[in-house]
Amino acid sequence: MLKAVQSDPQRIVGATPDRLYLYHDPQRCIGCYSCELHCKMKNNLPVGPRLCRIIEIGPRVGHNTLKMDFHFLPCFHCENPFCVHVCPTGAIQKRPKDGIVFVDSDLCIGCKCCIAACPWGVPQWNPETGKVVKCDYCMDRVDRGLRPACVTGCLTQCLHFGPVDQASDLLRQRYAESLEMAGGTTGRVTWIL
Amino acid sequence: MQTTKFSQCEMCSARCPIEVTLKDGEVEGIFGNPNVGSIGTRLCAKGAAAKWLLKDTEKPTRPQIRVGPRGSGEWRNASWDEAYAYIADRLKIIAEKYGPRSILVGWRGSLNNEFVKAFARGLGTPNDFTHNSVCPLSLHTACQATLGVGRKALGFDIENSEYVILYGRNIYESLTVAEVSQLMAATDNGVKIVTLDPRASKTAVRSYYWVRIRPGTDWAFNLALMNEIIKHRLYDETFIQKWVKDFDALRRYVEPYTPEWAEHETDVQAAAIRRLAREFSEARPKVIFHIGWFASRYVTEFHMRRSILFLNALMGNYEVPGGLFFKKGLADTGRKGMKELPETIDAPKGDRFDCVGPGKKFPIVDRSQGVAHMLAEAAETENPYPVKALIIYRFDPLYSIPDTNTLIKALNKFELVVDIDVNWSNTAWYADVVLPESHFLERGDPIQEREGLKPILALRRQVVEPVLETRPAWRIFKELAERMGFGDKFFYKDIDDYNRWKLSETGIDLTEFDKKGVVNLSGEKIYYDRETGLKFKTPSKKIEVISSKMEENGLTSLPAYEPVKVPEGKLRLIIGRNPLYTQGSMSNNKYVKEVLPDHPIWINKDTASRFGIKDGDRILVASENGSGTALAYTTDGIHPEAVFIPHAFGKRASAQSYAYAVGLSDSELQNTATDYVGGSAAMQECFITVEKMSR
Repeated sequence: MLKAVQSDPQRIVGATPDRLYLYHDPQRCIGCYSCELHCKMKNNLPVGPRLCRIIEIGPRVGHNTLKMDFHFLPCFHCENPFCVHVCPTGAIQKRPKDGIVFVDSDLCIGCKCCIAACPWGVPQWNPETGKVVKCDYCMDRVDRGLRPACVTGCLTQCLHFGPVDQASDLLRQRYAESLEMAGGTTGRVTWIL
Repeated sequence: MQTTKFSQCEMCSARCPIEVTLKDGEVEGIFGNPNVGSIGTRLCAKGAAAKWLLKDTEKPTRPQIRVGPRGSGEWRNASWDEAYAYIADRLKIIAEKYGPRSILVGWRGSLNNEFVKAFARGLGTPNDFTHNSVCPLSLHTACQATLGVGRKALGFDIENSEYVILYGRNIYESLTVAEVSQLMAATDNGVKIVTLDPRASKTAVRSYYWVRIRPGTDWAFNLALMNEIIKHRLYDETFIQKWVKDFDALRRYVEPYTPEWAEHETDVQAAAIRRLAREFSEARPKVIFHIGWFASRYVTEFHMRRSILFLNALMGNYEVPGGLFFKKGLADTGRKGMKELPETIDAPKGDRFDCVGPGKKFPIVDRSQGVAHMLAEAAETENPYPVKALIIYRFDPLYSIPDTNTLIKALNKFELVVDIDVNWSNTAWYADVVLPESHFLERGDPIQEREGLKPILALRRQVVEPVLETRPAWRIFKELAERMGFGDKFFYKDIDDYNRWKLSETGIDLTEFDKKGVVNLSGEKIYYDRETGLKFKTPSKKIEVISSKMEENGLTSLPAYEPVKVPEGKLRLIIGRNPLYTQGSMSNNKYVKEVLPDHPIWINKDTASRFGIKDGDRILVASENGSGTALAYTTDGIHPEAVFIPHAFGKRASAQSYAYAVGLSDSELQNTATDYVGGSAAMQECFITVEKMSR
């Protein structure tokens, strides 16, 4: 498995705006749910809305291998977000500078159009306020130079937050290393004895 | 205004160093202390959820005195003064009538050990005991009998190892942040994790090898592994010659235990055992056979743990990168140690309530640990003498000691039961008086020495004012001591005063914690010389195959292996931990419950179909000691002889609306089988029947 890719001081900042991306490295995830609880506490949410979710699949036992997967589901902060398009009041907006999709709670009328529109079930209903709430990458933290709460607390650092191209770099690096390590690379296959 | 403060978490006993951010004095968020390398900002789900626990009003909010029958949950509020007077009056009468030894003081290990122990000494009772007999005790005893030092003397340089072998030590579910970081770093470095577990734990699914071992046969597996390693001279001969006493006895002992013999017993193929023996030997000394933590599973626990110590010896892995090390502390950095309150008070002498001591039931168990699960027997039989008062600090015998029903009956023999805890526990619910301790963010505790290759001192500091009528432990025990007439022994004014006294000979000032929350004691990793400097404290100063301590006490160092059997028609209940709960004490958390309200019982698919059970069925689970129901989760990820539930569910204090009566409690099903050598309860000597419930 690969270590977290550190942000590169030599990065050339291009003319196009940087897009922030929260990349979940499933090979490092242990399904500890610290992301979910840190999110919940940071956003002071009641029971009900869960802005990110870990979904466990498995364990699955093959002939002589064991596998279990953990999927991390926050908001993808789409370039062309369904939720923004259907929102009748303009409450859901996309921040030009970094692409964060967020809800302006003052404008939300609780119509739930965004909940129906998002194919991934991201917008969440807050029963206390009667409005929608969603992952905004903890943008108040981001604006203070901090990482989102889920990333900050993540036990294995399987969550990476930064410019989107870092995630592609990490995956390419991993692919290249896996070509070198033919035959049972650590952490990816669990052999049953 | 935003501020940050450093402290230590206490949602479980890992006590990870934390950084708390506050906004206008209110807790905003809790993360790991970034000044501690192995922690960084990382903190588990429970630690995050500690923020909610501050506002939880389902804790005891002020001292409580029972008005209804025990366990009825009928309480009245009392002032602290009244509660102290109630306790002191009764303790004095009991001490006069039955002697101070009739007062038992039990606690779960915490930073406040020294106050509780000092309080017991002040009372004049030899009967203080830890919760360890339902946790690591047999491992501790095995280390003492073999190495001459306790289990906590050993550390593991996981990060630099090539193989880490885990005997059910479930690092990715029974979490400490530092260990998770180390194992993940080791994985980055290409380590091969070998997990022996009848269940596909989250550690198993992140391992290179999952050894799906038959439950209860780890010892047999180790005997065969040693047989192969010794037969083919795959061990470190130089190390053995230098540091192992009676190696020939070990050689002869393991001769009959071939991999073929073990295959039948363990369900692990002989070829796999042979292959592992070679892989480990090629990688030595960068191989860690992890000694574990929880060690209260089987009656042979002690001997299984000793076999792990032997395997480490065969690898010659002491004081090398990627191997085992003696943990280093203040003394190894040229400083004097911290003072501890109990050292200033004479330890009361006399026989203990739990039959610990030479010539007794537990001849080699450490007196300072005690055997908690002897509580019921001691109260019922009044042997060696009557016990009449029970003071419990943050330990929950009625939830963690096997066979709850028998213990409830035995507790009725006590004239006074006092419980001091942050939360309602099953035992607090059954007590006569409950003294509520403040949340860990609302109090300061004694300084912790976190020993390791690079030791540090850590400090829990008060972050916010208590919300409820609760008090910190340092104050509760001081005030109780005053009421009992030995307040002079608790001479400190407050926790800062106490910690300054603790530090007074170390040359370290309390203000040194201000900047980073911790004090680093060494910039470099400290190693002992592995040729001359290993600090085994046995009489021979070596790793003892034939243990002097055991032989002196009439115990057989190398007993024959007894095959493991499961009664016809029954399954073995195995237990473990879940990353959202870990221990039972914090289970009444609204936000933890939102993610995992209940836990199903794991049952092997083939076994389930034999009993006509399908995935999602509600099943009746019964042992000779108790019964309950749970939803079945059918999976190939568990050995066919076993069913699994984690320890954390089925709580019995109805004040806790989230945790009360949700799920299956392990201790209500277990019986009081015991490892009489090591001292631990044998919780997995528990056989149950399963039956699908009609709809």
